[in-house]
Amino acid sequence: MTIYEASYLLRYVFVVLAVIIALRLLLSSIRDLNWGIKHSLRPAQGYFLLSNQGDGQTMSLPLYHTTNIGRAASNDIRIYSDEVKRRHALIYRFDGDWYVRPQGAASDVLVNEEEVHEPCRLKNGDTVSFGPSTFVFVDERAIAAERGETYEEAIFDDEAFYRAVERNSRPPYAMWILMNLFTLITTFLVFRMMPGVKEVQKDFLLYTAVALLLLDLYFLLLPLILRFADRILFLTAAQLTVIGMAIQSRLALVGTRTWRRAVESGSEAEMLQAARELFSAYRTQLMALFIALAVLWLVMLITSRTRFLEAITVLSGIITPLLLIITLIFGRGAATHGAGLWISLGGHSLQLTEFAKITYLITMAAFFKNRTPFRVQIYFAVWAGVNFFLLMLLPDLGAIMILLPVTLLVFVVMTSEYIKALLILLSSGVLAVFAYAVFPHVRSRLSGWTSLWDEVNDQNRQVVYGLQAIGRGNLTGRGRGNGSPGGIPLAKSDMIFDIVCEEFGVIFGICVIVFIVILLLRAIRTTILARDGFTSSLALALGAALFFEAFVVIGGTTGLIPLTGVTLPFIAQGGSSLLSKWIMTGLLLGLASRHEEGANRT
Amino acid sequence: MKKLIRNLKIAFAVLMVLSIALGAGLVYQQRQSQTTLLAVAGENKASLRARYAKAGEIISSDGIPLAYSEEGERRYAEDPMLQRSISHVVGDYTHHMSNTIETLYQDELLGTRRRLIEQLLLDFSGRGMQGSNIHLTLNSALNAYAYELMQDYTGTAVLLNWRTGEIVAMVSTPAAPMANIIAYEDIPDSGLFNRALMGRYAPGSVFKIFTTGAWLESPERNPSFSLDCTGEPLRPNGARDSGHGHVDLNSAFTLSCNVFFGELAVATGADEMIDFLDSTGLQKLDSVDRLSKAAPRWNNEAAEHDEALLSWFGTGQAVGDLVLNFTPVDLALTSAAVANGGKLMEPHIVSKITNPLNQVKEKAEPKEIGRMFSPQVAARLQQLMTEAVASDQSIQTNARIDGFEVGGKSGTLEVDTEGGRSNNALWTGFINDPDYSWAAAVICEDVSGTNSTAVAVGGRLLEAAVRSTGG
Repeated sequence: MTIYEASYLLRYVFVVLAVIIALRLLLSSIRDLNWGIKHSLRPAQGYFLLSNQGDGQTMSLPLYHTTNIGRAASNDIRIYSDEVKRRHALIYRFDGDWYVRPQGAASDVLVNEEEVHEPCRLKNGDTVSFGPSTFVFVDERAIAAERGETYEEAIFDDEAFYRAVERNSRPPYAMWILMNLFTLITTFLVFRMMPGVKEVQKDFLLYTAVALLLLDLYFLLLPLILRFADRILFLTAAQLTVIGMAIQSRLALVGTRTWRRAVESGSEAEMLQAARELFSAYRTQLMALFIALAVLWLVMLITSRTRFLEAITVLSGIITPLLLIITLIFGRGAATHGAGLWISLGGHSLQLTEFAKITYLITMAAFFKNRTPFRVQIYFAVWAGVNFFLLMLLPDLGAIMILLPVTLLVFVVMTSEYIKALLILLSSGVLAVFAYAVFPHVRSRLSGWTSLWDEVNDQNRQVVYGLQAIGRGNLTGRGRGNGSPGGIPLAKSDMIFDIVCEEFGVIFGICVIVFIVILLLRAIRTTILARDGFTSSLALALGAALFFEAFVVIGGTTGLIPLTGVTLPFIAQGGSSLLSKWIMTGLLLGLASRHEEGANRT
Repeated sequence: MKKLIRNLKIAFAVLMVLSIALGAGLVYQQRQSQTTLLAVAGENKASLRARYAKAGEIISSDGIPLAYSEEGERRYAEDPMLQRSISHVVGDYTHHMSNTIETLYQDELLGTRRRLIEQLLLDFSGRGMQGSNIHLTLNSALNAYAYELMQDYTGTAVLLNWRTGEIVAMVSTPAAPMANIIAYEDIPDSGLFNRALMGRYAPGSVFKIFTTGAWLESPERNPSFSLDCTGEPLRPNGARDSGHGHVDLNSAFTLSCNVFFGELAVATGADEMIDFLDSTGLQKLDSVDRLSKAAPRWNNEAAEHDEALLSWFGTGQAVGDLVLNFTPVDLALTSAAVANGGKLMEPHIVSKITNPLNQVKEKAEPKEIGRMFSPQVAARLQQLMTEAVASDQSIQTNARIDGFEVGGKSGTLEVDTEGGRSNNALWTGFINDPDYSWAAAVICEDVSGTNSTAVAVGGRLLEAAVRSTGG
């Protein structure tokens, strides 16, 4: 039996492994999310409103990180009075402090008997009035500090809650072992199929082993770095990364024409040269992973322990368009990819737009940490408009197709502005028509998509070839190294999902989708459990961005929607992409471990 | 907070619907890719090359691999004659030709359409990656010989077993070497066109087999019908010929007398001619296994009130608005039916498909799919056709084979070509011996003079077939 025949047999193993890991993690995530939703109405500890009942009796009202006050049933605190609007006011926490803000110009909100129209910070003992009702804001920590005591959070319920959060963040170790098994088998197969040059074989094993070891170490040590480390999230990202390593090493090293030509030449020097050259593509990818993992702990710690993200919201608002402008001026690669998104830097090319996405999300999360007044929404619209305009100029359609739905989603979830969201959706439809009319790049993508089932032409060749690869893969794939990615343009980056489907099969492809969904579920869980609006909205934004990025590229390469140049998170070739996805993961991990503890630390 | 949870639930529901749609869409697109897209676009050459490098073999009936995969490459029978002779049937892995075994049996050759149980069985015996082998009814030696006979002409030759319907030789000329077809260069005009299956030819005098059959089946027939042929048409603009003197059915068939057969068609009647042709069942035959075959066509509506035109129809000349054409396979099947008591056997080119474990997946069995002639008419036609070859007056002497009774009918058709007028020479015939049950049809396009070339090629082909079976 040759190694290729063995690989053909092993394809069943990969499918089984992927299905087990995906299903197990998915079930854990769903169960946990369910639990989260049930326990999410958990008031902030040590903060509440006192209300005077008139007969000397007082009642304490719980506060949530975003507490809606008004007459309507959907409010957290309902006041039955005609002087109170349906949506009257909002009390929310940001950056560790509490604020109150009227929901509209007509809502009267008094703090210490002075009318307020802007967000007003609340201190212990402040009186807050909404129409006829007056409350006193109580901060037990401040009281304790005045008395020179330390505030203790030790309530049994909370301990049980934390234990549950910790338990729910822990994936079964068996899944971690299966991930390692997956990597060992894929690595073994590539090792046996790759050019038989000792030096390069050694390097391949070394780099792969170090990458796997780092992922394992992180997985094991994560609870030491962060208290509520979301290891299911980490394991899912790691699983996607090892799938990426498996497919990138195979594409770089197995069955290449470069190697065949070198063998035909018969010269040993040429063979060594060719093998080194082939390996360099894989090495670049792994170097990006090493850099990502080297900074991951820092990203996580800063996110969870400090208010750094809150501090840089304005700065990232400025950086985002700057990154785009720099790319617009210095960007390279228009000839090969239709859009010049690459910046050359010391012999490496860097895709700044990948990082602009992150800063965009941070700023957006700050804007929509709660239901913002209309005026602020307009500011945001202008700022976002500038960014989208720059993205169109690049043109980076992929980024638009990711950021637009993410923005809409976060906007709707955080502000409940369903009608406005619908209007934005409609106007973006108009914009799409505009883009179609103005940019030939857009037109050709679309015509390629519509003619998909009629003929093969220059516009749709890539997708047609990709679909053929998916078709060849059938349910269980053709085995590693047995696929024929040779004819597919951009097989390593844009079209990677099709290669995954050809060699691992469509079942495995669905598992990849499930992994992405798990990332989203974990992000939504953080959104629910978070103790302040900013953490909530940023977690949602990051999760949704990963989800939509995968959605756009998988939909595009399978011909379900028009193709745009987007990379499949963690799997596609591209150092900038991999690095930025791991930074996003780091942010999510950090946000997940904030909870009560993080939110209270000042 | 309540609102946030509610909004999140809605958003979550939308995103889940999107994910499920994506997963379902992926499966759907895979199906589409395997059906619609494959039909429209075929596959890209690079991947075909890689996939066929592991494909199953295409094997001739005498065990010669016509197409096989070795050392990561698809290879074809090395002998240049054989390679060209099978090029139209076997085809190329690049799918430049579409009506071929390589293209139409791709799923079997690559092993992509297997039931799960079979695939598992093959996987665990270590042969999961190999495709199935396609065994053809074609005999490599006879096929190469047929090509050798035909290589100087443009045309086609078909040889089949009239008892089983198995096609043992099928060539079409001109043909190109496989390397040229794959590279798509230096291919002679129409060199990729399989004339044997897809060529529609006016039958000329070969059609007189049908005219005779229709007349014999019709109530109007008069067995002792005879006439004096002066060569002049019996009705204005009707069928004419050189003068044959007094002819009856026997001598008219041997001499292929146009005037006589024109009168037979008129006596039978236009509608009755068509009814008879429809009753043969040939027009329903539009494929040979998975390979497409052009169905024969006939229409004489124009001659319904025009006896002169109808007389031309009877001679097999599609003049004016008449429609009359057959593929070479149809003509060979006609001779086969005559030899076989009127039975139309289902033609086959694939005898069986075996998987890598040598288990037979599909096997062609001889099957009667219709009756072209009644036994009596078939017997009479046998007699006429054998006499036409054996007779002193025969114009088919080239078809004779020592020690065997050969039946045949030749035809010539004047056609307009770029270089002026020229002739298509046609012949179909059979060996009247159940132990050597061979039937053939040959068409040589654009030959000068008479139909003797086609007759000679047909005779040599039948003779070779006889010798190959020990005769």
